[in-house]
Amino acid sequence: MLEASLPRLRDERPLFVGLRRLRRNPVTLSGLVIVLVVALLAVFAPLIAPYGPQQGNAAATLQSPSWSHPFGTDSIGFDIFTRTIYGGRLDLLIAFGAVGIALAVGCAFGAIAGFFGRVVDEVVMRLMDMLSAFPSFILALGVVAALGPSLPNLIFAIALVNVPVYARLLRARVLTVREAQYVRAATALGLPRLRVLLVHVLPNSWAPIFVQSTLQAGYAILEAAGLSFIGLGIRVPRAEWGVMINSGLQYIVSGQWWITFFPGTAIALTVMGFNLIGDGLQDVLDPRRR
Amino acid sequence: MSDAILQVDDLVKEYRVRVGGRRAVLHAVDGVSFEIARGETVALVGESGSGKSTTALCILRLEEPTRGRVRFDGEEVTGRSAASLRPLRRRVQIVFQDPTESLNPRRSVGDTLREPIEWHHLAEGAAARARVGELLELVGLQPGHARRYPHQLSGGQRQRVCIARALATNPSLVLLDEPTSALDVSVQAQILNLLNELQREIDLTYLFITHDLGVVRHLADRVLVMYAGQIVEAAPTATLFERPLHPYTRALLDSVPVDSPSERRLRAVPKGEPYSPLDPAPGCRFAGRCPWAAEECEAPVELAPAADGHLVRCTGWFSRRVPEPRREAIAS
Amino acid sequence: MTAEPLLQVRGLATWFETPRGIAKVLDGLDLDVGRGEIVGLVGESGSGKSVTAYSVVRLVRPPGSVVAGRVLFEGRDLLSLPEGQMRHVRGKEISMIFQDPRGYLDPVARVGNVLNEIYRTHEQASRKEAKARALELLRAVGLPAPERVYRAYPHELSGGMAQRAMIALALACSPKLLIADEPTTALDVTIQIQIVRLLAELRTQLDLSILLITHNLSVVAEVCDRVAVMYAGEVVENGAAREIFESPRHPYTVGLLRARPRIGTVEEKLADIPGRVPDLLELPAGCRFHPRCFLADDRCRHEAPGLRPLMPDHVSRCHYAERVQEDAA
Repeated sequence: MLEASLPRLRDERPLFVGLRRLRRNPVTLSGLVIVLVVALLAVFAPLIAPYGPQQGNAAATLQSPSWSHPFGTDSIGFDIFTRTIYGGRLDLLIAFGAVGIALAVGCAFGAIAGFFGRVVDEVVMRLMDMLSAFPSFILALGVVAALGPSLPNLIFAIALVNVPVYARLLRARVLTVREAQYVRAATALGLPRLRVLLVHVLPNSWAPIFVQSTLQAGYAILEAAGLSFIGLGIRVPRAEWGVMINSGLQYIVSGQWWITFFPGTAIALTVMGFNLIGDGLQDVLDPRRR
Repeated sequence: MSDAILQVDDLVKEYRVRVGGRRAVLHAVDGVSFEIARGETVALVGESGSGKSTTALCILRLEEPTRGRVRFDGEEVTGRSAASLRPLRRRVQIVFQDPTESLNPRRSVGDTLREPIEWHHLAEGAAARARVGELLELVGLQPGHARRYPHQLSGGQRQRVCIARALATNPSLVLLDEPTSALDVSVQAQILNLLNELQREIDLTYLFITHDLGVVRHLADRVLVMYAGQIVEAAPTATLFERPLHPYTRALLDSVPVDSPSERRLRAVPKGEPYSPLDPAPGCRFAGRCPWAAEECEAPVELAPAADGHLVRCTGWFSRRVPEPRREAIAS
Repeated sequence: MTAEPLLQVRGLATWFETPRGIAKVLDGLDLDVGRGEIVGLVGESGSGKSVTAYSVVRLVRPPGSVVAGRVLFEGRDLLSLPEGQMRHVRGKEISMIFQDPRGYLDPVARVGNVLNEIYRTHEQASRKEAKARALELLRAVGLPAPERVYRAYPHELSGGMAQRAMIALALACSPKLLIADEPTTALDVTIQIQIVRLLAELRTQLDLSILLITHNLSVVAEVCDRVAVMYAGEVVENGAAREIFESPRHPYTVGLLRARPRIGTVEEKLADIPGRVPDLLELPAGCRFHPRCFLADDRCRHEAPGLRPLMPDHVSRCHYAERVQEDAA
């Protein structure tokens, strides 16, 4: 009745399928490349940067881009190029850190609310409602203002603001996946509820989370830059894109455009990179799409 | 009585719903009682709204019954905590209708089959993997299929995997909810033959839920016909097909399309739609569509014996208003 | 069949682009539907029967496209019409009904409104005329309370009622050909027979031709005049319904007929067809059915059979069509 020996099929473990699809998806790939480049530059900053991030040079202030200073210098003589690369460290750290924490906490809440339902669901979601009642920037502002502007507080504030997003997203997915026939089958087999949640429900609920995360990473950078810009985040003289934009603002009028331009472009490029990844990720992650 | 592997007593499942702004109670299963003997194949037949699938889910407590009692092999299934059901779940299994939806798309066939084996502590590691290979061969697949993912298999193969999964824990009773409805005709035949063979090889009892009378004729020893949440007729298969008593059973049999153009016949096409019992009237629920309906049908009616092993829920039958079924209406 | 067929499909080829290559779902299909005839197009999944229907009315969307062939409807080739004219054909000359009526009806539109709209699009009619026609149609399809259905939304209707409503929609402008794609598959048995009989009646009353697409051979046996059996994108047998059922001339048809669990006879073991439907991107060489065929030999493995006439009006795509009857035992 059947083939004598099974033909060797391609490896169809979800990870490998995802990677294969990735190769074919130019949008996601380009986003990945951008983010990777920014990340690599940030990680290897000490090796790449020609100067120190806080190495001032009173003799070379406000210099336009040249061979010795590819992105120019600012009013203290800091090399913009160096600071842009180093700024990536902080901003990426904030992005990954804040999103990571928000994801972990938010998903835990969302999964529990969606899976166990009823009272648990109500309690958790009202909590989330309270958090999301505030406009995100204002909430982050409030937290940082209350706790003091430091890097950990900044990450905490941005994470807090994003927790409800993940909670809601995952809860919605879990509610749907929970009704799937294969979840019912798992229950019929006598598997304990926790296992059903962890092994069957959650892995099939991740996909929108990943997509959302990439977009959130972009927002996180904008929020961090925004907060730093108004002085509540990273402070001068540390290198961070928002800070740099702030310090360069007054010089735009007098023609020294490069002080804000390069960090601004860095933000735009990085956020775009994340967005591009997010765009194509949905397709890449779904094992059923052929 | 003592050889009954499943006993269902007065099973009731109600859903509270809102219909057009009004609150109502949907009586999906409304007092179903029956027994299945070891080794039997019993078919639960009905159309949409009959409650047949809900009955199966309630037996397994995948839906919680509103009232009623279910006993498996003498042990209580209802009236105990969900957690304490786990050892029972090893012995009663279910195969669902849609094999694609019933398999986790992210797990390989091997993972899916090993899960129940390991979780019920039947085998571990290499022994478990060997058992997976055995199961695959049992359902007509090859051990190499363990590495495949559901989307790499055809519909028929997926259903075989679902059957293998149901058999992984060596159950004594298997519920099958329309196991072949989602499959092509030629594949249906393969799966039905497989189910037949398995029953002979392994000593299984089947409760088949289906609307396909051909399948019933082919596989079942006994048939329970359900309409609007109640059993309206119960009889051994051959008897039901040769002498259907309940007007609904007759309509059902008469609705089956012919096997070949030469058998085309004039038929009284049943009128109306299958009944979904929302706050049903106390009397017979088929009366609105029944050619022999009368005033006495408004009174509640119970399932009663019409002949040896043949039960029917019809006032008109016992009061002689409903005549003997005509032979030529059913192919013999 | 002396009169010219209403629909003549010749050499229809519809191909789909997939990441793995081009799937030639249809590759040279011939099919006829006569006036007032009910033709059954039977096949399992992957046979291409639905694609055939969509190709005829030019509703095939990318990644699929009709690449070759002629679809002659009353002598006119539909495939060469500009889209504007094709729109006039759809709904007015050729209509379609589908498997799940509630999935194809606009959930926020009342049935009556949709009926009116269709009627008034193709005919110049006033609202009153359209409404009268709508109610007449709803009655004609056997709905007991046409006024209620007229005002109803699709989700308020049961499966059977919705299918009747869909048939009414399809008949609004008195088409000559109705294409029914699995119209009863999603319905209960007792409703299925009602719909099937309704289609037969409508054929007689309105001199309507029907192309009935289904995988259910019994439904075909119930109402069809002629049957075309499809396998892997090709018609493998075509003839009068009685002929096909009583003396099938293709091993696949034989297999399908015997694989049905029937009420009339009880066999110990159902005759199944071993193997499964081929992947359209990796079709077997020679006859597409040969890996599963009880008659296959070397010739079948290398030479693809063409559609041969065996008797007037009965064709089969099999080298050994004459032997099918004896060997089928």
